Amino acid sequence: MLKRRDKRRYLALLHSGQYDAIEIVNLIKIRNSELFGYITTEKSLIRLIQSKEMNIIVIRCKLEGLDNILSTIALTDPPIVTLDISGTLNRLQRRLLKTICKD
Amino acid sequence: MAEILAIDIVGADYHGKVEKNIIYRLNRKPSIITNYPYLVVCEKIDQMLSPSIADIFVVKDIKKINANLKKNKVKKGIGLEVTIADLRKADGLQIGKWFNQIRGLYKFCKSSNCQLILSSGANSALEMVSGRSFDSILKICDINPERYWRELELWIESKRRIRCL
Repeated sequence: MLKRRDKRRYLALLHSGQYDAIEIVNLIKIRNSELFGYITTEKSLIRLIQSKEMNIIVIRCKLEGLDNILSTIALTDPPIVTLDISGTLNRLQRRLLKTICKD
Repeated sequence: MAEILAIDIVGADYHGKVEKNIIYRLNRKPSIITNYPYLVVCEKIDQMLSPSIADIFVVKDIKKINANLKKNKVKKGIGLEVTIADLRKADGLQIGKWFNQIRGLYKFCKSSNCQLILSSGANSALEMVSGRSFDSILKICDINPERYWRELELWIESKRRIRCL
């Protein structure tokens, strides 16, 4: 039987720096549970991947939960901004670097 | 920042400086011809219902406004703006209801030739909402994002054409 890995998406998020990276991920998980339920949140497999400088963090989630996560991020207090989304971490990092250098 | 978030044009208050890709939000129509695009925004229902020149009406309480809008005749082509910023502090129950109200408001807009405008209501760059997040919110409200953006673009263009720039 063919064993296929679930598709994932990497999200670069900008936050105010009021909370650290782990707290931000927990905030997203709690808000997502509140809006879409605990089971959906667990199924989305939200994980912290990287915490960068300049208040940018990278999280990962399953593709099927992406729409829920994106709307959760828009409805989270304190505000968090989704800077970019990519299917691979490498591509996300490359694009982020490009954006930061451009600015 | 807007470019990073995949947003082509943003709405902002006018502070005397004209910048590219910004449509300025004014409280009243300027008496002179301007060299910048603008939209007249109102927050009071009587301002919107009177034969005024308001382009956008900011909907603060959808539930209250729904009854008012259905009772009174709304000016054709007006934009009904709903902001996301206020929802950040709302609980899950309120947000659930809000999604349903947006669905209803969109249907109302369709039937009365108005334009639904989903706005971040941001006061700073950090409060902005990315284009992709808007799409997700629209999908949850059963609104086709592509269709929504296309209609919004046409609406903005139609308003721009009226103005002398």
